[in-house]
Amino acid sequence: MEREAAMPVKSGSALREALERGVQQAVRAAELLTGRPVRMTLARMEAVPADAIFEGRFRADSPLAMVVLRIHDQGGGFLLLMMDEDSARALNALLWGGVPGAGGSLTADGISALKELANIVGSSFLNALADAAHVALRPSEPIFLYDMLAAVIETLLVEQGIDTDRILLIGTSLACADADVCLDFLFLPSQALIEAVLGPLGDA
Amino acid sequence: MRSAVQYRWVNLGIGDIVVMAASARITTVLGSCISVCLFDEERAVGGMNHFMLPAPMGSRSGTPGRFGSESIPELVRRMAAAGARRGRMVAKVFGGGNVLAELSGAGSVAGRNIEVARHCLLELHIPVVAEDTGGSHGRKVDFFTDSGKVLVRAVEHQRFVMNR
Repeated sequence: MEREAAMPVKSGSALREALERGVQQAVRAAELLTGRPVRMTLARMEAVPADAIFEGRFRADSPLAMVVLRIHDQGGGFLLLMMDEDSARALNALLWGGVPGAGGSLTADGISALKELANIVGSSFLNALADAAHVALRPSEPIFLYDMLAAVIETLLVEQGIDTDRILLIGTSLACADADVCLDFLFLPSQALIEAVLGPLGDA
Repeated sequence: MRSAVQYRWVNLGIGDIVVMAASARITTVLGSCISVCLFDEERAVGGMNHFMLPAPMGSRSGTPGRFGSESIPELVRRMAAAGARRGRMVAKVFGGGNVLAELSGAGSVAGRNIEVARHCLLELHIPVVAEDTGGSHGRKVDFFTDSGKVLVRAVEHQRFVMNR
């Protein structure tokens, strides 16, 4: 079966510029949270078909730590922060001064810290997009999930009634103190959200 | 020494329906979606679907693989076309995990997907011989079409997450 190829978001596009502003906002918020200098870069940004997400760093059955933010406005959508277990542990240590639980598992405090990070970084992206498109985009409370990536993505698509071929993958790299952590965000917009936000930015 | 069976590996995506009359391992990952595995032991024909939603809003969708009410009858038709007989078919049903329970609450799509799978199979007089549905987790399902056997794997939540 033929499938659309992944489409990198061009440098200089309004969408990329908006998300780069979002990264700057996220860095300031993350520095306040950690009390330490944070470097964060937008490593990758492309529109990908849903099943192409599993051809990158993570497989469909990869167990990942994920935080979901539901977007309530403009038809709705989801923002999903995902990371592997090692990255989750590293972030836990950074954010909480964290001592993992037995077997390196995450404690309730660690999960709370990850949700807070997802909230501030995700909200920074959403605020930057909302400002650029002159709309309101409010996220829900963050929800933490530890499950297979494909199981979560398909459920988000079902919940939102999203057609499966328009997912924006935002790959970021976050460095703080001695730790380098890769965080990937998935932006799963409804058709109405694409038209309200990505349309005005010239990337719909 | 017995030689190992060479399985053709098939990755089943959302909305797909696959029927095989040869040795194949059909794999999919399920959240709130459902997979029905059908098997006719005498003809060694196996088939599997992966549907998202219980039923379309209108009378017919045009994308039958996405809706349980259309995908299951279509799977049965394709099984019959591959030589299976409905009277010999047995079903195994998987998925319907309410992965986003915190967001979607009790009235989730996952629960309605499970109901439509059971209802369709009952109407088609196909017995359900195994089922692993519901809960709040995803599943990886591997279906072996020459034997009808199924492997189901879930993430061990407690291994990584404490105190929840």
